[in-house]
Amino acid sequence: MPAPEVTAPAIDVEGLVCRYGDTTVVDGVSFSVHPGELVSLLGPNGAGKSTTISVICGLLAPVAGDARILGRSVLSDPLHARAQLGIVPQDLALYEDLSARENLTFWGRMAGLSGRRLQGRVDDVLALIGLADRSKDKVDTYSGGMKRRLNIGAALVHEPRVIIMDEPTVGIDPQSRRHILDSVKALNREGQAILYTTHHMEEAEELSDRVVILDHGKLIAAGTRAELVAQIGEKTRLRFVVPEARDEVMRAWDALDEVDSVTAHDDEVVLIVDDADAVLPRAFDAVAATCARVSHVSIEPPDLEAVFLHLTGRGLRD
Amino acid sequence: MGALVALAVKDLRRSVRSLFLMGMAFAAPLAICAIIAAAFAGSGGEDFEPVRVALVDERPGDDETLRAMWEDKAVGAVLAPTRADTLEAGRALLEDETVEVVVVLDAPEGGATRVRLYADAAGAVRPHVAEAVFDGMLDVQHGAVVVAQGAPPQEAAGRVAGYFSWLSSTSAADVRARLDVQPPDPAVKSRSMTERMKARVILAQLVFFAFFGAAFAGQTLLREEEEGTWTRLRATAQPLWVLLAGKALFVAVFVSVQTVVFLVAAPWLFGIDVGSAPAMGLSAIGLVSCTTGLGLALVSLIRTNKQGGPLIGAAMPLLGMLGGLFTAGVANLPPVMEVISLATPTGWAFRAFDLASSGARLVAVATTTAVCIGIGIGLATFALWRFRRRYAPIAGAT
Repeated sequence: MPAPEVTAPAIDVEGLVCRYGDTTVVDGVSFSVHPGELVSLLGPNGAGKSTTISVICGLLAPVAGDARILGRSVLSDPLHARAQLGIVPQDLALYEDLSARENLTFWGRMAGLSGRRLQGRVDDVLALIGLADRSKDKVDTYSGGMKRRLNIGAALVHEPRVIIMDEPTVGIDPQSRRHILDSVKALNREGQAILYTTHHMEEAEELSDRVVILDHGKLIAAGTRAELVAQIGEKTRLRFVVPEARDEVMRAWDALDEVDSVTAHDDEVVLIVDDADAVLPRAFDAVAATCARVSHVSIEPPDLEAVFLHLTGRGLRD
Repeated sequence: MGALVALAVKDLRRSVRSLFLMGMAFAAPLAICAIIAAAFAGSGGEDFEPVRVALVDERPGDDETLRAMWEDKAVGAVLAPTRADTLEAGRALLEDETVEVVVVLDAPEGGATRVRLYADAAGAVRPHVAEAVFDGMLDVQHGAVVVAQGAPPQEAAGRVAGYFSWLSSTSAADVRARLDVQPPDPAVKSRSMTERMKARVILAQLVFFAFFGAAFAGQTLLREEEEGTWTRLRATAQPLWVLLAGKALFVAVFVSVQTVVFLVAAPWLFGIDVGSAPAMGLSAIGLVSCTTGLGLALVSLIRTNKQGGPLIGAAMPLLGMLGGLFTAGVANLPPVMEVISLATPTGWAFRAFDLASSGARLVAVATTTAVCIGIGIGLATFALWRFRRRYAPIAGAT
């Protein structure tokens, strides 16, 4: 098989259809991840993210469509395609009765490394994931976060050009989560293409160059964060807590031209606006002109949660 | 090739760290064989302890023929005779285990001599030894009657005297030497029945545990599935056949190590003769082939380790029983059992060891080993076919 062009997308998914029995779990999904790009695959549980990943990893045959890794089809040239991949599975996939070093050495050998190069890579990865000082301890003595880091490390030993991370921060403490997110960003800065699946909107926003949103097996939106937000025309929310004279101040805010709408629930009032910077001073002038008192205010720019809400009518975690 | 070996080495390393696997594969079989060897130690070798017998002669008159035979020194090799005056006295000796058999001679209503034996019903073999000796004595007496039969009275006495003279000359020789059973090949060392039985029983147990070890080792594949590492392995750049071959290599190496340990331990710890090195080497190859094939085939039929317990726990003892591994010490099994045993991999594997340890010719061992290898290849092929169907969603990935 001829070598693909070096400019080929790191991952190119085209018209993917997957079924379990009569249920279509992935329905015509197409997207690309370019070299050096970090793309998040965002969607609630059951959206089809893991099935899409399984096809890309060559673990599942699609009913239709194909996925290519740096130009190599996972259907017609699976071994070469997988050789370019580093996969971080959603669940821990480690040998708990072996040490971190033994685990990394094994996964390196499975990727075809040997000798000094293998040992050098194992040392590098141990340093990268912060486990160099515990490298000889058995994995079953590690904390959950340490295991998660090793789970990522096992995908990096052979220096893959494309990395797939399937919800790598599930069920870990905030400190380890921070460490993992920083590591992902560092890997991306080094030029590796990363496909990162998550149902945490904040992670997708923090990490991604682009976001692909799946729901019920279909791709419902794709683009940069700004593009997605612009696509749905979502506006900024100003959220006020007004413990006294709420109705009075609401009438004053509703009269402002720059305010699109005013809604209230208990002592909380939400203003939908185009330009928060322009509205805020006038909103506080209105408060000053009444007997109302504001105890808290927050500015919520449009986010991916809002995009998902707008597109599907429900939240990511619903 | 490197990945294949890496898989096997990794599994070996994990196995060594598994107390359960080490216990089931090495400690348990060696402990069981040690108990069997200890049980045989009391009855083994050439040191047969004579059966303690009490004779009660309730016949009227003074016929010394049987009593004289009874006290002959040739009989002393197998019987330790004593006398009791009455049946009650004899039974008392039996009751307090001073003797194992009481022989009562009487002549009801003044007729022919009758012989009755009293023995503990739980005594398996030893009372029959006394019975056999007395059978022999009665045969001698009957021989005298036959010799004298039909002869005129003046000739009868001479014939009987001649008969007893001939008997006397034969008893003077070493009867045991003439009864010694020799193997067909004079190069092979002769062994007692007890030694032979002990060797068969222990080797059968070792073969049984080798099969168990292979099945447990094969379950590492299911363990990988449960740990999530199998999916990760399948997502590597290694084709499925390399992953499966790595697993098969691990099982084969594991059983090989187990077999070598058993074969070193068998003569050293249990004092059994395992046969010549070439014959035993061939048998070991046969055993490794059969166990690896069967272990993989069984694991290919199940999806979880939870299912593995009942299946392997049921299949292995059943195949062990059908293969004759639990009846290795039983003499004169019905021919159908032999036929059934040859329909099982356990039966063929044991047959190879049995032939090797009994000193059979190398060609016979090699033929049996060839059958074992064939069975192993067949079972492994079946297992690989099942695994490929299970794990290969994409034809090009295999």
